Amino acid sequence: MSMIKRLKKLWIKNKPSKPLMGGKVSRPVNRRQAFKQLSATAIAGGALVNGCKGGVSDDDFESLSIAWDEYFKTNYRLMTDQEKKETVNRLQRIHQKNNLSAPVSNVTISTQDPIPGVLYGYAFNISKCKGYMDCVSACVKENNQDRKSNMQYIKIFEMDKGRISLDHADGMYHHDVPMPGKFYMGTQCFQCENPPCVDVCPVGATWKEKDGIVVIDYDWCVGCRYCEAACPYWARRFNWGEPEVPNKDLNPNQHYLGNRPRQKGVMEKCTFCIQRSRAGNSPACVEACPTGARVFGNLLDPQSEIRYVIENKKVFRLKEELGTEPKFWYFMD
Amino acid sequence: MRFLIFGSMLLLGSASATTSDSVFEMIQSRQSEVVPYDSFEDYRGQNSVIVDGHSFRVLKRSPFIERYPCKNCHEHPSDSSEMQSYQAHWDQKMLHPQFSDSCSLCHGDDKGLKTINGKSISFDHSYKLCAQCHGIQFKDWLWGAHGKRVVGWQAKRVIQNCTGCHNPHDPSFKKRKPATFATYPQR
Repeated sequence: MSMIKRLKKLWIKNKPSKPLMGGKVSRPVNRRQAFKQLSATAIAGGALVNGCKGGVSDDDFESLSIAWDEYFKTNYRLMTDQEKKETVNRLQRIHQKNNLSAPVSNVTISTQDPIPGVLYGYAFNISKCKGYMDCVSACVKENNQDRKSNMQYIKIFEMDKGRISLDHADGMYHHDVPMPGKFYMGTQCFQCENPPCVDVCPVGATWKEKDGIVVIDYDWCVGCRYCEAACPYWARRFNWGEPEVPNKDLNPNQHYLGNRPRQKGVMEKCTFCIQRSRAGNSPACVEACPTGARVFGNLLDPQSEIRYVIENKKVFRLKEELGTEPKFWYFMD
Repeated sequence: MRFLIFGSMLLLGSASATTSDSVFEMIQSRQSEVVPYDSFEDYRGQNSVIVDGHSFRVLKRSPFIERYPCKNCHEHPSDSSEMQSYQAHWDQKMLHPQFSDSCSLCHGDDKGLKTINGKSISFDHSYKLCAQCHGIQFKDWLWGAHGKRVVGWQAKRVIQNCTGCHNPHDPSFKKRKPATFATYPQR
């Protein structure tokens, strides 16, 4: 069997079986299979790059070149602007090819850089939160999380009034809220200034951006889950299965480091909705909160709301003694 | 090639691991070089009005009131039998303020609202009316510790008016089912 036929077979085999279950960019070539064939592909790859198609249709040829280039792309931090543009175009094209007649047939993946002079911070008013969980459902919709396992970045804990200890918290409540004698405290990724999850990553797939957001390159993550173990706040989530988002629910406004669809076997987490915050919008949880318990802003801007809260309210941070410097403050009226 | 990249990533990782400044030190040290970020101009198309003396806006209320302004009915109450058939405001329950059940404590004049001193206020600026009693909440609302954010985190933002979240005649939040249920992450 020729090399091109083999690659073609792999591409077809790895194509999503259900076209309506969109929103996934599966790794077109399995890593192990690819290494097996690496010696053979070296020659065939040369032929592909040189434009010698060897009897493959244009459509297949495009899929093959996308698969090839996607597999050998580098870490996001090492990419030039040109390489970022190319990989975004490839990912958008893969989505388009897999969802030709679906409601969301086109997605936009942004690679917007951090805004200079901005350091994001977040504050959560434990006197105001009533535990309605509108933030949780807005977050799932905005960030294209897996609907099969119902993955959630935000957790709302129901706690007894008078003690701030998560040991006595109920994170699985489902009854009418607010309950008398209880208060509600939300957790998510706190975007630590000194993030332990970044220190333990063996491949450099996660890092802190200049605006303080800790991000993951989903295509570089090897899924070792060290970061999940290192995080003292339990903020990271692992994709045990292939994430599924029905195409009609897919958010087409995406960011490379944010809510673009993930694959099976990679970590993901809250990014303060990087696709929204870098465009001047508040994160989805802030916009969804019906009680106004969530405050988001630029820590470096003395006029910002978040600075007013930190300077004028009683604030505390969770597990402050660990030295992780979370940029997430709890406050009360 | 692949190993070279891997090696360089390790180097990058170790370089980024050295920062351990506290957030507050960072804010202090970068204070001088920072210009408040404020380049979004359009308020995202929200129907809003600027808050007097401030750079942010509140959502408008008056476009959503049927038969506004009040004089549409209240200037010609006996003219039309159609108007009389509306039974306007008859189902309004007055739970707040508790010390008075007089409509004219807050309502009056053509714009809809009036202060205790009789100064008329538009429905769009109802925060001025609430601020007469709720001064602490008003101050928090002005500077960002109270109230729902609608658009943006920069200086030119849009926030909800008091009446956007609180029913002025019954302002407390009600008991209800959560919007979703929590799932335990698989481990």
